[in-house]
Amino acid sequence: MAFSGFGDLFFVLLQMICVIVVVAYLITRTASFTRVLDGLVTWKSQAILVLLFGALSIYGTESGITILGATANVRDLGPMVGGLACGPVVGLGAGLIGAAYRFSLAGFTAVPCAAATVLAGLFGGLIFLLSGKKFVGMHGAVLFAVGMETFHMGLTLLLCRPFDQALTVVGGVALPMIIANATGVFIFALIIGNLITERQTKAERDAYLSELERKKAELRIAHDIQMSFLPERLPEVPGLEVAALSLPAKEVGGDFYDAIPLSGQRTAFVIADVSGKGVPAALFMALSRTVLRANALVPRSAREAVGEANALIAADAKSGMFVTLFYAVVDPADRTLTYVNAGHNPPLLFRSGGDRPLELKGTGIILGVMPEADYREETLALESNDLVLFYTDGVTEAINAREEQFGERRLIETVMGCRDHPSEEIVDRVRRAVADFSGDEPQFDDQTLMVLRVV
Amino acid sequence: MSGRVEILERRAGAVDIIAVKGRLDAGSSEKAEERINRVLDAGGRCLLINLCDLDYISSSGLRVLLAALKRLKKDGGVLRIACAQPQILEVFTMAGFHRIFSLSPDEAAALAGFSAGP
Repeated sequence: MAFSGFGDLFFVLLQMICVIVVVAYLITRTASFTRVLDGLVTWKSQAILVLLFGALSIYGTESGITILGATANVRDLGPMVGGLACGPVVGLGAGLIGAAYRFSLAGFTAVPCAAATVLAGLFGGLIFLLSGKKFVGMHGAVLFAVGMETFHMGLTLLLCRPFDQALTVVGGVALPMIIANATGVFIFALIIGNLITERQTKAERDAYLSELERKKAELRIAHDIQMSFLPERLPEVPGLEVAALSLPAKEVGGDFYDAIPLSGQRTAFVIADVSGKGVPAALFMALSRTVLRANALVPRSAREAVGEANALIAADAKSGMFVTLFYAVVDPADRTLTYVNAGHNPPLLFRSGGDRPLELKGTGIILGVMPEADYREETLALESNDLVLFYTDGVTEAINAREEQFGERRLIETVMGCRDHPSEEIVDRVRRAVADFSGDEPQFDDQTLMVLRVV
Repeated sequence: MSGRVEILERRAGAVDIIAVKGRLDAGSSEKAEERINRVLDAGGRCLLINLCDLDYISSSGLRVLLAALKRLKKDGGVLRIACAQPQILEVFTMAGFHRIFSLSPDEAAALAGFSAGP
Protein backbone atom coordinates (compact mmCIF):
# COMPACT_ATOMS: atom_id res chain seq x y z
CA MET A 1 0.00 0.00 0.00
CA ALA A 2 1.55 3.28 -1.08
CA PHE A 3 1.70 6.12 1.36
CA SER A 4 1.08 9.59 -0.01
CA GLY A 5 0.30 11.82 2.95
CA PHE A 6 -0.37 12.05 6.69
CA GLY A 7 -4.15 11.73 6.29
CA ASP A 8 -3.69 8.53 4.32
CA LEU A 9 -1.34 7.11 6.95
CA PHE A 10 -3.87 7.82 9.67
CA PHE A 11 -6.67 6.26 7.64
CA VAL A 12 -4.67 3.14 6.85
CA LEU A 13 -3.60 2.72 10.47
CA LEU A 14 -7.22 3.10 11.59
CA GLN A 15 -8.28 0.45 9.09
CA MET A 16 -5.57 -1.86 10.37
CA ILE A 17 -6.60 -1.31 13.96
CA CYS A 18 -10.21 -2.15 13.07
CA VAL A 19 -9.10 -5.42 11.53
CA ILE A 20 -6.97 -6.20 14.58
CA VAL A 21 -9.89 -5.48 16.92
CA VAL A 22 -12.13 -7.89 15.01
CA VAL A 23 -9.44 -10.57 14.73
CA ALA A 24 -8.52 -10.19 18.39
CA TYR A 25 -12.16 -10.55 19.37
CA LEU A 26 -12.67 -13.64 17.21
CA ILE A 27 -9.46 -15.39 18.28
CA THR A 28 -10.06 -14.78 21.97
CA ARG A 29 -13.59 -16.20 21.67
CA THR A 30 -12.48 -19.52 20.18
CA ALA A 31 -12.78 -22.58 22.38
CA SER A 32 -9.06 -23.25 21.83
CA PHE A 33 -8.10 -19.86 23.26
CA THR A 34 -10.31 -20.08 26.35
CA ARG A 35 -9.06 -23.61 26.95
CA VAL A 36 -5.48 -22.32 26.98
CA LEU A 37 -6.56 -19.54 29.39
CA ASP A 38 -7.87 -22.27 31.68
CA GLY A 39 -4.49 -23.98 31.48
CA LEU A 40 -5.82 -26.90 29.39
CA VAL A 41 -3.21 -27.18 26.64
CA THR A 42 -3.85 -29.79 23.93
CA TRP A 43 -1.97 -30.30 20.68
CA LYS A 44 -5.13 -29.68 18.73
CA SER A 45 -5.92 -26.33 20.31
CA GLN A 46 -2.30 -25.28 20.02
CA ALA A 47 -2.30 -26.17 16.31
CA ILE A 48 -5.45 -24.13 15.73
CA LEU A 49 -3.96 -21.14 17.56
CA VAL A 50 -0.68 -21.47 15.60
CA LEU A 51 -2.69 -21.25 12.38
CA LEU A 52 -4.79 -18.30 13.59
CA PHE A 53 -1.87 -16.23 14.88
CA GLY A 54 0.20 -17.29 11.84
CA ALA A 55 -2.56 -16.00 9.56
CA LEU A 56 -2.59 -12.73 11.52
CA SER A 57 1.16 -12.48 10.92
CA ILE A 58 0.63 -12.94 7.16
CA TYR A 59 -2.09 -10.28 7.27
CA GLY A 60 0.43 -8.05 9.07
CA THR A 61 2.86 -8.45 6.16
CA GLU A 62 0.17 -7.88 3.53
CA SER A 63 -1.33 -4.82 5.20
CA GLY A 64 2.05 -3.12 5.54
CA ILE A 65 2.36 0.58 4.63
CA THR A 66 5.13 1.42 2.26
CA ILE A 67 7.12 4.42 3.36
CA LEU A 68 10.01 5.58 1.20
CA GLY A 69 10.29 2.12 -0.33
CA ALA A 70 10.31 0.29 3.06
CA THR A 71 7.22 -1.27 4.62
CA ALA A 72 5.97 -0.57 8.11
CA ASN A 73 3.99 -3.62 9.19
CA VAL A 74 2.47 -5.56 12.10
CA ARG A 75 3.83 -8.94 11.07
CA ASP A 76 5.28 -9.50 14.56
CA LEU A 77 1.94 -8.86 16.25
CA GLY A 78 0.45 -12.37 15.79
CA PRO A 79 3.50 -14.25 17.05
CA MET A 80 3.99 -11.81 19.97
CA VAL A 81 0.41 -12.15 21.19
CA GLY A 82 0.36 -15.89 20.47
CA GLY A 83 3.46 -16.29 22.61
CA LEU A 84 2.34 -13.90 25.38
CA ALA A 85 -1.12 -15.41 25.74
CA CYS A 86 -0.65 -19.07 24.75
CA GLY A 87 3.00 -19.94 25.37
CA PRO A 88 6.17 -20.65 23.35
CA VAL A 89 4.70 -23.38 21.12
CA VAL A 90 1.97 -21.14 19.72
CA GLY A 91 4.30 -18.11 19.58
CA LEU A 92 7.07 -19.99 17.78
CA GLY A 93 4.65 -21.76 15.43
CA ALA A 94 2.93 -18.53 14.40
CA GLY A 95 6.34 -16.87 14.10
CA LEU A 96 7.57 -19.59 11.73
CA ILE A 97 4.49 -19.22 9.53
CA GLY A 98 4.85 -15.42 9.41
CA ALA A 99 8.60 -15.70 8.82
CA ALA A 100 8.22 -18.27 6.02
CA TYR A 101 5.73 -16.02 4.23
CA ARG A 102 7.97 -12.97 4.64
CA PHE A 103 11.01 -14.93 3.49
CA SER A 104 9.16 -16.09 0.36
CA LEU A 105 8.69 -12.42 -0.62
CA ALA A 106 12.47 -11.92 -0.51
CA GLY A 107 13.75 -8.33 -0.60
CA PHE A 108 16.42 -6.29 1.13
CA THR A 109 15.31 -6.94 4.74
CA ALA A 110 14.04 -10.51 4.30
CA VAL A 111 16.51 -12.18 6.66
CA PRO A 112 16.27 -9.82 9.67
CA CYS A 113 12.48 -9.49 9.27
CA ALA A 114 11.97 -13.25 9.16
CA ALA A 115 14.32 -13.78 12.09
CA ALA A 116 12.61 -11.04 14.14
CA THR A 117 9.18 -12.63 13.57
CA VAL A 118 10.37 -16.04 14.81
CA LEU A 119 12.06 -14.43 17.81
CA ALA A 120 8.95 -12.31 18.58
CA GLY A 121 6.94 -15.53 19.04
CA LEU A 122 9.69 -17.23 21.01
CA PHE A 123 10.31 -14.28 23.37
CA GLY A 124 6.56 -13.81 23.87
CA GLY A 125 6.34 -17.48 24.83
CA LEU A 126 9.26 -17.15 27.26
CA ILE A 127 7.54 -14.17 28.96
CA PHE A 128 4.42 -16.36 29.25
CA LEU A 129 6.51 -19.03 31.01
CA LEU A 130 8.25 -16.47 33.25
CA SER A 131 4.86 -15.04 34.31
CA GLY A 132 3.90 -18.45 35.64
CA LYS A 133 2.18 -19.69 32.45
CA LYS A 134 -0.09 -16.68 32.47
CA PHE A 135 -0.70 -13.66 30.30
CA VAL A 136 1.72 -11.00 31.58
CA GLY A 137 -0.88 -8.20 31.56
CA MET A 138 -1.35 -5.00 29.62
CA HIS A 139 1.73 -3.03 30.70
CA GLY A 140 4.14 -5.89 30.30
CA ALA A 141 2.72 -6.78 26.89
CA VAL A 142 2.95 -3.24 25.47
CA LEU A 143 6.48 -2.77 26.87
CA PHE A 144 7.47 -6.07 25.27
CA ALA A 145 6.04 -4.92 21.91
CA VAL A 146 8.04 -1.68 22.03
CA GLY A 147 11.21 -3.55 23.02
CA MET A 148 10.67 -6.27 20.43
CA GLU A 149 10.22 -3.81 17.56
CA THR A 150 13.24 -1.80 18.69
CA PHE A 151 15.20 -5.09 18.65
CA HIS A 152 13.77 -5.83 15.18
CA MET A 153 15.14 -2.48 13.95
CA GLY A 154 18.51 -3.20 15.54
CA LEU A 155 18.62 -6.59 13.83
CA THR A 156 17.98 -4.91 10.45
CA LEU A 157 20.84 -2.48 11.04
CA LEU A 158 23.11 -5.37 12.10
CA LEU A 159 22.36 -7.78 9.25
CA CYS A 160 21.55 -5.63 6.21
CA ARG A 161 24.29 -4.32 3.98
CA PRO A 162 24.95 -1.73 2.75
CA PHE A 163 24.50 -0.11 6.18
CA ASP A 164 23.49 3.28 4.74
CA GLN A 165 20.50 1.76 2.99
CA ALA A 166 19.53 -0.14 6.16
CA LEU A 167 19.76 3.10 8.15
CA THR A 168 17.48 4.90 5.69
CA VAL A 169 14.88 2.11 5.90
CA VAL A 170 15.00 1.91 9.69
CA GLY A 171 14.86 5.69 10.00
CA GLY A 172 11.68 5.71 7.92
CA VAL A 173 9.76 2.80 9.48
CA ALA A 174 11.05 2.50 13.06
CA LEU A 175 8.57 4.85 14.73
CA PRO A 176 5.44 3.79 12.76
CA MET A 177 6.28 0.11 13.36
CA ILE A 178 6.86 0.51 17.06
CA ILE A 179 3.61 2.48 17.41
CA ALA A 180 1.58 0.13 15.20
CA ASN A 181 2.74 -3.06 16.95
CA ALA A 182 2.42 -1.55 20.42
CA THR A 183 -1.12 -0.44 19.54
CA GLY A 184 -1.97 -3.90 18.23
CA VAL A 185 -0.65 -5.58 21.36
CA PHE A 186 -2.50 -3.01 23.47
CA ILE A 187 -5.79 -3.93 21.75
CA PHE A 188 -5.18 -7.64 22.29
CA ALA A 189 -4.14 -7.09 25.89
CA LEU A 190 -7.29 -5.07 26.53
CA ILE A 191 -9.55 -7.75 25.09
CA ILE A 192 -7.70 -10.61 26.79
CA GLY A 193 -7.74 -8.71 30.09
CA ASN A 194 -11.48 -8.15 29.76
CA LEU A 195 -12.01 -11.78 28.89
CA ILE A 196 -10.06 -12.97 31.94
CA THR A 197 -12.01 -10.62 34.27
CA GLU A 198 -15.30 -11.62 32.68
CA ARG A 199 -14.54 -15.31 33.12
CA GLN A 200 -13.47 -14.79 36.73
CA THR A 201 -16.64 -12.84 37.48
CA LYS A 202 -18.71 -15.55 35.86
CA ALA A 203 -16.93 -18.29 37.80
CA GLU A 204 -17.46 -16.38 41.04
CA ARG A 205 -21.08 -15.72 40.20
CA ASP A 206 -21.67 -19.39 39.35
CA ALA A 207 -20.07 -20.46 42.61
CA TYR A 208 -22.13 -17.90 44.52
CA LEU A 209 -25.35 -18.96 42.81
CA SER A 210 -24.83 -22.64 43.47
CA GLU A 211 -23.97 -21.83 47.09
CA LEU A 212 -27.15 -19.76 47.31
CA GLU A 213 -29.15 -22.58 45.74
CA ARG A 214 -27.74 -25.02 48.28
CA LYS A 215 -28.49 -22.68 51.18
CA LYS A 216 -32.02 -22.16 49.93
CA ALA A 217 -32.53 -25.91 49.72
CA GLU A 218 -31.17 -26.30 53.25
CA LEU A 219 -33.50 -23.59 54.53
CA ARG A 220 -36.45 -25.25 52.79
CA ILE A 221 -35.59 -28.50 54.53
CA ALA A 222 -35.16 -26.64 57.84
CA HIS A 223 -38.53 -25.00 57.27
CA ASP A 224 -40.20 -28.36 56.61
CA ILE A 225 -38.59 -29.91 59.68
CA GLN A 226 -39.64 -26.97 61.80
CA MET A 227 -43.20 -27.02 60.50
CA SER A 228 -43.31 -30.70 61.44
CA PHE A 229 -42.69 -29.60 65.06
CA LEU A 230 -45.97 -27.73 65.09
CA PRO A 231 -48.97 -29.97 65.69
CA GLU A 232 -50.30 -31.17 62.33
CA ARG A 233 -53.78 -31.14 63.75
CA LEU A 234 -54.70 -29.70 67.08
CA PRO A 235 -56.15 -32.40 69.32
CA GLU A 236 -59.88 -32.64 69.86
CA VAL A 237 -60.42 -31.36 73.36
CA PRO A 238 -63.87 -31.93 74.85
CA GLY A 239 -65.57 -28.63 75.66
CA LEU A 240 -63.01 -26.55 73.74
CA GLU A 241 -62.74 -25.22 70.22
CA VAL A 242 -59.10 -24.58 69.31
CA ALA A 243 -57.39 -22.94 66.34
CA ALA A 244 -53.80 -21.78 65.80
CA LEU A 245 -51.51 -20.31 63.19
CA SER A 246 -47.80 -19.54 62.95
CA LEU A 247 -46.21 -17.33 60.27
CA PRO A 248 -42.40 -17.24 60.44
CA ALA A 249 -40.82 -13.96 59.23
CA LYS A 250 -38.05 -15.90 57.49
CA GLU A 251 -37.94 -19.48 56.24
CA VAL A 252 -37.51 -20.61 59.81
CA GLY A 253 -38.54 -18.86 62.98
CA GLY A 254 -38.44 -18.91 66.74
CA ASP A 255 -42.14 -19.02 67.58
CA PHE A 256 -44.05 -22.17 68.32
CA TYR A 257 -47.31 -23.37 69.71
CA ASP A 258 -48.21 -26.80 70.93
CA ALA A 259 -51.11 -28.77 72.38
CA ILE A 260 -50.00 -31.69 74.51
CA PRO A 261 -52.58 -34.29 75.61
CA LEU A 262 -52.10 -35.07 79.31
CA SER A 263 -53.60 -37.68 81.59
CA GLY A 264 -57.24 -37.39 82.69
CA GLN A 265 -58.51 -35.67 79.51
CA ARG A 266 -56.43 -32.63 80.35
CA THR A 267 -54.51 -30.76 77.65
CA ALA A 268 -51.52 -28.43 77.95
CA PHE A 269 -51.59 -25.48 75.53
CA VAL A 270 -48.32 -23.74 74.83
CA ILE A 271 -47.24 -20.63 72.99
CA ALA A 272 -43.62 -19.54 73.00
CA ASP A 273 -41.28 -17.05 71.42
CA VAL A 274 -37.57 -17.76 71.23
CA SER A 275 -35.37 -14.65 71.22
CA GLY A 276 -33.80 -13.80 67.89
CA LYS A 277 -34.70 -14.91 64.39
CA GLY A 278 -33.63 -17.35 61.71
CA VAL A 279 -31.70 -20.58 62.13
CA PRO A 280 -30.27 -19.96 65.65
CA ALA A 281 -33.77 -19.20 66.95
CA ALA A 282 -35.19 -22.23 65.11
CA LEU A 283 -32.65 -24.61 66.65
CA PHE A 284 -33.29 -23.19 70.10
CA MET A 285 -37.02 -23.50 69.47
CA ALA A 286 -36.59 -27.20 68.63
CA LEU A 287 -34.64 -27.76 71.83
CA SER A 288 -37.13 -25.84 73.98
CA ARG A 289 -40.16 -27.54 72.52
CA THR A 290 -38.75 -31.02 73.04
CA VAL A 291 -37.66 -30.28 76.60
CA LEU A 292 -41.05 -28.81 77.42
CA ARG A 293 -42.97 -31.74 75.90
CA ALA A 294 -40.89 -34.27 77.77
CA ASN A 295 -41.50 -32.44 81.05
CA ALA A 296 -45.20 -31.92 80.42
CA LEU A 297 -45.75 -35.66 80.03
CA VAL A 298 -44.38 -36.47 83.49
CA PRO A 299 -47.34 -36.27 85.89
CA ARG A 300 -46.71 -33.07 87.84
CA SER A 301 -48.06 -29.57 88.28
CA ALA A 302 -47.79 -26.90 85.60
CA ARG A 303 -45.29 -24.88 87.61
CA GLU A 304 -43.09 -27.93 88.17
CA ALA A 305 -43.18 -28.79 84.47
CA VAL A 306 -42.14 -25.27 83.45
CA GLY A 307 -39.58 -24.98 86.26
CA GLU A 308 -37.90 -28.25 85.28
CA ALA A 309 -37.93 -27.31 81.56
CA ASN A 310 -36.34 -23.97 82.49
CA ALA A 311 -33.50 -25.60 84.38
CA LEU A 312 -32.72 -27.82 81.38
CA ILE A 313 -33.02 -25.01 78.82
CA ALA A 314 -30.91 -22.62 80.92
CA ALA A 315 -28.15 -25.23 80.98
CA ASP A 316 -28.05 -25.12 77.17
CA ALA A 317 -28.76 -21.42 76.53
CA LYS A 318 -25.88 -19.47 75.04
CA SER A 319 -25.33 -15.76 74.45
CA GLY A 320 -28.58 -14.24 75.56
CA MET A 321 -30.89 -16.88 74.11
CA PHE A 322 -34.15 -17.14 75.99
CA VAL A 323 -37.73 -18.24 75.54
CA THR A 324 -40.87 -16.47 76.64
CA LEU A 325 -43.51 -19.10 77.24
CA PHE A 326 -47.11 -19.37 78.23
CA TYR A 327 -48.14 -22.79 79.46
CA ALA A 328 -51.79 -23.48 80.25
CA VAL A 329 -53.37 -26.75 81.35
CA VAL A 330 -57.10 -27.01 80.65
CA ASP A 331 -59.04 -29.51 82.70
CA PRO A 332 -62.46 -30.08 81.13
CA ALA A 333 -63.68 -32.07 84.13
CA ASP A 334 -63.66 -29.14 86.57
CA ARG A 335 -63.55 -26.45 83.81
CA THR A 336 -60.35 -24.78 84.94
CA LEU A 337 -57.34 -23.31 83.25
CA THR A 338 -54.09 -23.40 85.21
CA TYR A 339 -51.30 -21.32 83.72
CA VAL A 340 -47.68 -20.39 84.13
CA ASN A 341 -46.55 -17.30 82.28
CA ALA A 342 -42.76 -17.24 81.90
CA GLY A 343 -42.31 -13.70 80.65
CA HIS A 344 -44.60 -14.09 77.66
CA ASN A 345 -46.73 -11.15 76.57
CA PRO A 346 -49.97 -11.73 78.47
CA PRO A 347 -52.63 -13.77 76.65
CA LEU A 348 -56.05 -12.15 76.67
CA LEU A 349 -59.07 -13.73 78.31
CA PHE A 350 -62.34 -12.43 76.87
CA ARG A 351 -65.06 -13.25 79.37
CA SER A 352 -68.52 -13.82 78.04
CA GLY A 353 -70.29 -10.44 78.13
CA GLY A 354 -67.20 -8.53 79.31
CA ASP A 355 -66.07 -5.46 77.40
CA ARG A 356 -62.36 -5.55 78.27
CA PRO A 357 -60.26 -8.69 78.16
CA LEU A 358 -58.28 -9.81 81.18
CA GLU A 359 -54.51 -10.09 80.83
CA LEU A 360 -52.94 -13.36 82.01
CA LYS A 361 -49.78 -11.75 83.35
CA GLY A 362 -46.35 -13.09 84.16
CA THR A 363 -45.86 -15.61 86.95
CA GLY A 364 -42.12 -16.08 86.53
CA ILE A 365 -38.96 -15.25 84.66
CA ILE A 366 -38.39 -16.04 80.98
CA LEU A 367 -36.93 -19.49 80.36
CA GLY A 368 -33.23 -19.96 79.90
CA VAL A 369 -31.68 -17.24 82.05
CA MET A 370 -31.93 -18.46 85.67
CA PRO A 371 -31.53 -22.22 86.10
CA GLU A 372 -32.88 -22.18 89.66
CA ALA A 373 -35.87 -19.90 88.99
CA ASP A 374 -39.22 -20.59 90.67
CA TYR A 375 -42.55 -20.28 88.89
CA ARG A 376 -45.99 -19.56 90.27
CA GLU A 377 -49.13 -20.90 88.71
CA GLU A 378 -52.60 -19.35 88.59
CA THR A 379 -55.91 -21.16 88.19
CA LEU A 380 -58.98 -19.65 86.55
CA ALA A 381 -62.50 -21.00 86.36
CA LEU A 382 -63.67 -21.21 82.76
CA GLU A 383 -67.19 -20.38 81.72
CA SER A 384 -69.13 -21.06 78.56
CA ASN A 385 -68.18 -18.83 75.68
CA ASP A 386 -64.97 -17.60 77.34
CA LEU A 387 -62.30 -16.97 74.78
CA VAL A 388 -58.55 -17.05 75.35
CA LEU A 389 -56.22 -15.50 72.77
CA PHE A 390 -52.55 -16.49 72.91
CA TYR A 391 -50.21 -14.50 70.66
CA THR A 392 -46.56 -13.54 70.19
CA ASP A 393 -45.33 -9.96 70.01
CA GLY A 394 -44.72 -10.30 66.26
CA VAL A 395 -48.50 -9.79 65.92
CA THR A 396 -48.75 -6.57 67.91
CA GLU A 397 -45.41 -5.28 66.64
CA ALA A 398 -46.29 -5.63 62.94
CA ILE A 399 -45.78 -2.19 61.41
CA ASN A 400 -47.35 -0.31 58.54
CA ALA A 401 -45.75 2.09 56.06
CA ARG A 402 -46.01 4.93 58.61
CA GLU A 403 -44.09 2.77 61.10
CA GLU A 404 -47.08 2.54 63.42
CA GLN A 405 -47.51 -0.74 65.25
CA PHE A 406 -50.58 -2.90 64.96
CA GLY A 407 -50.72 -2.80 68.74
CA GLU A 408 -52.81 -4.44 71.40
CA ARG A 409 -55.72 -2.03 70.92
CA ARG A 410 -56.27 -3.07 67.29
CA LEU A 411 -55.83 -6.71 68.24
CA ILE A 412 -58.54 -6.46 70.91
CA GLU A 413 -60.87 -4.54 68.56
CA THR A 414 -60.43 -7.18 65.86
CA VAL A 415 -61.23 -10.03 68.25
CA MET A 416 -64.19 -8.18 69.78
CA GLY A 417 -65.52 -7.66 66.25
CA CYS A 418 -65.80 -11.39 65.62
CA ARG A 419 -65.95 -12.67 69.16
CA ASP A 420 -68.82 -15.07 68.54
CA HIS A 421 -67.38 -16.62 65.38
CA PRO A 422 -65.67 -20.03 65.36
CA SER A 423 -62.06 -20.03 66.67
CA GLU A 424 -60.66 -20.77 63.26
CA GLU A 425 -62.36 -17.71 61.82
CA ILE A 426 -61.12 -15.47 64.64
CA VAL A 427 -57.54 -16.58 63.91
CA ASP A 428 -58.09 -15.87 60.24
CA ARG A 429 -59.63 -12.44 60.90
CA VAL A 430 -56.68 -11.42 63.06
CA ARG A 431 -54.24 -12.68 60.44
CA ARG A 432 -56.02 -10.68 57.75
CA ALA A 433 -56.30 -7.56 59.92
CA VAL A 434 -52.53 -7.66 60.56
CA ALA A 435 -51.77 -8.29 56.87
CA ASP A 436 -54.06 -5.44 55.75
CA PHE A 437 -52.53 -3.15 58.35
CA SER A 438 -48.92 -3.93 57.31
CA GLY A 439 -49.66 -3.59 53.60
CA ASP A 440 -46.38 -4.01 51.72
CA GLU A 441 -44.14 -3.62 54.77
CA PRO A 442 -41.93 -6.69 55.26
CA GLN A 443 -42.73 -8.93 58.21
CA PHE A 444 -40.05 -8.33 60.85
CA ASP A 445 -40.86 -10.99 63.38
CA ASP A 446 -42.64 -14.33 63.54
CA GLN A 447 -46.37 -14.05 64.14
CA THR A 448 -48.15 -16.79 66.07
CA LEU A 449 -51.72 -16.97 67.31
CA MET A 450 -53.84 -19.49 69.16
CA VAL A 451 -57.50 -19.17 70.14
CA LEU A 452 -59.30 -21.35 72.69
CA ARG A 453 -63.01 -21.02 73.04
CA VAL A 454 -65.00 -22.68 75.80
CA VAL A 455 -68.03 -24.27 74.21
CA MET B 1 -37.87 1.21 61.41
CA SER B 2 -34.41 1.29 62.97
CA GLY B 3 -34.54 5.08 62.83
CA ARG B 4 -36.77 5.07 65.86
CA VAL B 5 -34.07 4.27 68.36
CA GLU B 6 -31.37 6.73 69.34
CA ILE B 7 -28.26 5.64 71.17
CA LEU B 8 -25.85 8.01 72.90
CA GLU B 9 -22.56 7.04 74.50
CA ARG B 10 -20.72 8.84 77.30
CA ARG B 11 -18.09 8.03 79.86
CA ALA B 12 -18.01 8.85 83.55
CA GLY B 13 -14.68 7.67 84.95
CA ALA B 14 -14.46 3.94 84.33
CA VAL B 15 -18.17 3.66 83.56
CA ASP B 16 -19.46 3.56 80.00
CA ILE B 17 -22.92 5.10 79.86
CA ILE B 18 -25.18 4.13 76.99
CA ALA B 19 -28.46 5.98 76.77
CA VAL B 20 -31.10 4.21 74.66
CA LYS B 21 -33.96 6.46 73.55
CA GLY B 22 -37.14 5.72 71.66
CA ARG B 23 -38.23 2.17 70.94
CA LEU B 24 -36.23 -1.01 71.32
CA ASP B 25 -38.05 -3.62 69.21
CA ALA B 26 -37.43 -6.26 66.54
CA GLY B 27 -36.43 -3.59 64.02
CA SER B 28 -34.08 -1.53 66.17
CA SER B 29 -32.53 -3.92 68.65
CA GLU B 30 -29.81 -5.04 66.25
CA LYS B 31 -28.46 -1.49 66.16
CA ALA B 32 -28.47 -1.29 69.95
CA GLU B 33 -26.73 -4.66 70.21
CA GLU B 34 -23.98 -3.54 67.83
CA ARG B 35 -23.35 -0.36 69.81
CA ILE B 36 -23.24 -2.19 73.14
CA ASN B 37 -20.93 -4.85 71.73
CA ARG B 38 -18.61 -2.16 70.40
CA VAL B 39 -18.26 -0.71 73.90
CA LEU B 40 -17.66 -4.18 75.36
CA ASP B 41 -15.20 -5.06 72.58
CA ALA B 42 -13.25 -1.91 73.47
CA GLY B 43 -12.79 -3.34 76.97
CA GLY B 44 -15.69 -1.65 78.80
CA ARG B 45 -16.36 -3.59 82.01
CA CYS B 46 -18.68 -1.16 83.81
CA LEU B 47 -21.74 -0.54 81.71
CA LEU B 48 -24.61 1.72 82.70
CA ILE B 49 -27.62 1.58 80.43
CA ASN B 50 -29.77 4.66 80.81
CA LEU B 51 -33.39 4.07 79.82
CA CYS B 52 -34.84 7.46 80.92
CA ASP B 53 -36.13 8.15 77.41
CA LEU B 54 -36.96 4.61 76.33
CA ASP B 55 -40.66 4.43 75.53
CA TYR B 56 -41.03 0.81 74.54
CA ILE B 57 -39.16 -2.47 74.76
CA SER B 58 -40.03 -5.79 73.13
CA SER B 59 -38.63 -9.28 73.60
CA SER B 60 -35.91 -8.46 71.05
CA GLY B 61 -34.86 -5.55 73.24
CA LEU B 62 -34.82 -7.76 76.32
CA ARG B 63 -32.56 -10.17 74.47
CA VAL B 64 -30.04 -7.37 73.81
CA LEU B 65 -29.93 -6.44 77.51
CA LEU B 66 -29.66 -10.06 78.54
CA ALA B 67 -26.84 -10.77 76.07
CA ALA B 68 -24.92 -7.77 77.45
CA LEU B 69 -25.46 -8.96 81.02
CA LYS B 70 -24.31 -12.50 80.24
CA ARG B 71 -21.24 -11.26 78.45
CA LEU B 72 -20.27 -8.89 81.26
CA LYS B 73 -20.84 -11.52 83.95
CA LYS B 74 -18.57 -13.91 82.11
CA ASP B 75 -15.82 -11.28 81.85
CA GLY B 76 -16.19 -10.12 85.45
CA GLY B 77 -17.92 -6.86 84.55
CA VAL B 78 -20.97 -5.08 85.93
CA LEU B 79 -24.14 -3.95 84.18
CA ARG B 80 -26.60 -1.54 85.75
CA ILE B 81 -29.81 -0.22 84.33
CA ALA B 82 -30.94 3.25 85.35
CA CYS B 83 -34.16 5.15 85.16
CA ALA B 84 -36.48 2.66 83.47
CA GLN B 85 -39.95 4.20 83.02
CA PRO B 86 -43.04 2.53 84.51
CA GLN B 87 -44.09 0.86 81.24
CA ILE B 88 -40.56 -0.52 80.80
CA LEU B 89 -40.46 -1.70 84.41
CA GLU B 90 -43.73 -3.49 83.77
CA VAL B 91 -42.17 -5.43 80.89
CA PHE B 92 -39.10 -6.16 83.04
CA THR B 93 -41.34 -7.47 85.79
CA MET B 94 -43.33 -9.53 83.30
CA ALA B 95 -40.12 -11.13 82.01
CA GLY B 96 -38.66 -11.47 85.49
CA PHE B 97 -35.76 -9.16 84.64
CA HIS B 98 -36.07 -7.29 87.93
CA ARG B 99 -34.62 -10.41 89.52
CA ILE B 100 -31.48 -10.59 87.42
CA PHE B 101 -30.66 -6.94 86.64
CA SER B 102 -29.49 -4.21 89.00
CA LEU B 103 -32.09 -1.49 88.48
CA SER B 104 -31.52 2.02 89.80
CA PRO B 105 -34.06 4.86 89.87
CA ASP B 106 -31.66 7.35 88.24
CA GLU B 107 -28.20 7.67 86.78
CA ALA B 108 -26.60 9.12 89.90
CA ALA B 109 -27.78 6.19 92.01
CA ALA B 110 -26.53 3.74 89.39
CA LEU B 111 -23.11 5.45 89.29
CA ALA B 112 -22.92 5.32 93.08
CA GLY B 113 -23.72 1.62 92.82
CA PHE B 114 -20.65 1.03 90.65
CA SER B 115 -18.29 2.50 93.27
CA ALA B 116 -20.01 0.50 95.99
CA GLY B 117 -19.37 -2.71 94.02
CA PRO B 118 -21.82 -5.06 92.38
